[in-house]
Amino acid sequence: MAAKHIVRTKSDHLEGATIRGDSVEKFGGFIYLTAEEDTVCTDADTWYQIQGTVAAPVLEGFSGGAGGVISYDGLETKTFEMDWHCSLVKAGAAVTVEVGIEKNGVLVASSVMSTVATTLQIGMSGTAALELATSDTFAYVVRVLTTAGQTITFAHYNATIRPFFRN
Amino acid sequence: MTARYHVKRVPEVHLDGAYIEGDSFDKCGVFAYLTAAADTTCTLKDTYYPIAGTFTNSPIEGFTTTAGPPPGIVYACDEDRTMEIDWHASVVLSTGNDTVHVAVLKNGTEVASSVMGTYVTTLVLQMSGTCAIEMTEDDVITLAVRSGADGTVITFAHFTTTINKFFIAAS
Repeated sequence: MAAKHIVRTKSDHLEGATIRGDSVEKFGGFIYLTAEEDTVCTDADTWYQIQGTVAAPVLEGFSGGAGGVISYDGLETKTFEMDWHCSLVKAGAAVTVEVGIEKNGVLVASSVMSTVATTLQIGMSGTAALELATSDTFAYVVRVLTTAGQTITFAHYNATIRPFFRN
Repeated sequence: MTARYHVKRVPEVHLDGAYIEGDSFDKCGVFAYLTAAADTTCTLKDTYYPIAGTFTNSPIEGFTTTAGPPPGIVYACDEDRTMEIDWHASVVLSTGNDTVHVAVLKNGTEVASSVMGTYVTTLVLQMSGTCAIEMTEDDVITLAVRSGADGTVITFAHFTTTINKFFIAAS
């Protein structure tokens, strides 16, 4: 069992530890779409995983990413803050687009944001707090309301994953 | 004077402490979101109205909620802290158009640095904003909206807010 030396800097404040009930492992991720990519929404009101090649230059305590699906590898159930940003555009008539996060293939309702998508590129962003247990997976998804057969082009997409409670 | 302690860490033991000198270890943060689309009526232009609707506040640590006035999220920690408040919204009007602004209110007063505006129409648009606010116990945070015209009804299709400690330990 490793021993750690901790410097106590002032009363009740320790360096080297985190919040109560939370361990000291490093967890977090930053992923992004490496090139513009289309996601085809064949059916209306149906969620599709955002397509494209995803790079994960920062990924600690998580694995995956390349296919857009990320798995939590930590042993301790934790709440994570998921922030995402994207730029999207589409050909043809305007439609309402929603972007969100799926956990284990199930939509996290609180993660969803919507915007009108037109031939003029527009930005979106959102956030959610998700509790993750070992081997839980999550992915970023998009749907088009009402109108089937739409192709959404994601010019940019990135996301960060960090422990929700900070110290 | 800095005293040194040797602490043996085992998996079953979690240390209470903090990286940030002067900051204590308590969990402190909240994620709040609108559970369903809701309208906020801005009876008077240039006047802030709390964003209406049913909010879920989970997780919530170191905060409580209040029906007000002003309604909002109450900072319940006894230590003054700088907190980061991030918010995201999807907004739309049922008719017409208007320039609307969303802001964080602290104890009912606009935090000027938090304000964002957009031109809203009948096509849903996205907004987001952030700010860093010094908070003291019992401070109330309210997310609010103001319109540029009397009587504008703004539909928030989605709204989320996170409040977290601003300073994070470097590693």
